[in-house]
Amino acid sequence: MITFDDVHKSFGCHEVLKGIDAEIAKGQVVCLIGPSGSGKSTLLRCVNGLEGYQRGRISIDGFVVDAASPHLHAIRTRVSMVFQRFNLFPHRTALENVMEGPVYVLKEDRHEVRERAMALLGRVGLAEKTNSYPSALSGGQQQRVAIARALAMRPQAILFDEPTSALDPEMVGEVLQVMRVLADDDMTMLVVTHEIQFAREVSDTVLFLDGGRIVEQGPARELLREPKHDRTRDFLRRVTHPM
Amino acid sequence: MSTFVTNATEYLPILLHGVWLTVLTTTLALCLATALGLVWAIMRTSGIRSLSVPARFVVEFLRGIPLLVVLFYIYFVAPDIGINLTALQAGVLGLGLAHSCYLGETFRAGIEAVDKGQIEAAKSIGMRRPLMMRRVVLPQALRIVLPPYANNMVMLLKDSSLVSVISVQELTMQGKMLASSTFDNMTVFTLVAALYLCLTIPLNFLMRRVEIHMEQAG
Repeated sequence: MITFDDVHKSFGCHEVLKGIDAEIAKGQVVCLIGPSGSGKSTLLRCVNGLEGYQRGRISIDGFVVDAASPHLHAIRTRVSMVFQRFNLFPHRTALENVMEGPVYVLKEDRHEVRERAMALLGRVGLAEKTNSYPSALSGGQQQRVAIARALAMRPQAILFDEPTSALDPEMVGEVLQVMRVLADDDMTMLVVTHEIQFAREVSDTVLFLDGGRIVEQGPARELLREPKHDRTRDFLRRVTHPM
Repeated sequence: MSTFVTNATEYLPILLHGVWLTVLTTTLALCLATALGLVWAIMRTSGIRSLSVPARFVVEFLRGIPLLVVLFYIYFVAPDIGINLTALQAGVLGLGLAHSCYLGETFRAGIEAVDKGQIEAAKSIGMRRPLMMRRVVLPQALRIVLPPYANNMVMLLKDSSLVSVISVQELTMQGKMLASSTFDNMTVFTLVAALYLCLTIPLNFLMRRVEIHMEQAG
């Protein structure tokens, strides 16, 4: 469904992606792991055109993602994103945040969207908070609203950019739980994460990036249990046994 | 003191006519300055050179000319090229143009202060730029901009006294005429100053209430 074909990207003369090839099938959960600066967030942001790339090709269902393409907006309505810092609209309630895209971008019927948004907020466990503003919500709650906002677009895939990295430790679980349910519902997910446990349990495939290249990719259990590459082994040891 | 009161009651109706014109000039000029200021700000933050460069040029150009000269220019030079404006029209136009620069810079700062994550969130749900400005950026910029905007409003109200030089009979002009016909400078200009304060202080108060109200709304 999402295909990376020799993707190169530089910021100025600093090359951050040095030829990425990968394929994500429909319904797959793919985790991108790797040290900071490895290019994993950049790669994710290229998928919905928040970053451009210089060479190669990213395509979603045959549509090429290109910052200059007139299809970019259409692609974004089909591939949602969840951010590290939630990025909820602070001047709108939880419910309005979830309704914003379908009502104003997709121009769907407000009443119908409202019902759906309420149901989605219920699904992420926030039925009580529909009329709260983001400032009145905890980090974990905000991130769950952000997931509901992404789902409201009825996307074919969701990109998660370190969704739990800005959370207090006790709130990580509630967000991962929501993501776990999504994965069980066969949502296509591309997740940049440092949660190795989550990657092991939930993802189908893990891509290990280092220095702008995919060092190793494979089924989650295999790759995380018996990494073939020294650099992967090294990284996994450092994140799972930081002391 | 009693003569002050007697004279004041006699002058007040005349000065109130000036207050009306001051309010009218300020309101109209504020509308013009706000609309134009928004245009400058949106052009400058558009990221499109053919829009941002002209906007920047206009703002720098107008900001560099004293308001008095702008007013003289519009009122006395415009008729030479076939544009005849009444004093009030010229005054509103001059004030509005001059203040659109200050407001434009204020709005620009507000737009640029909106968190970049907000723009990414808006893009990620497929918003195009105009919708993003309307639904995400401007509402948040408005909050940031409100205190300096209120400040600008008061400055504009005070600057409206300058249109007296092109014979708009607003408060300052009425005061000057009344003072020169009665020689009662003390009473007249005390009243004029007091009337300006009657306009500016409630304005400040009102804007503070709006700010508090908006903060409570999330």
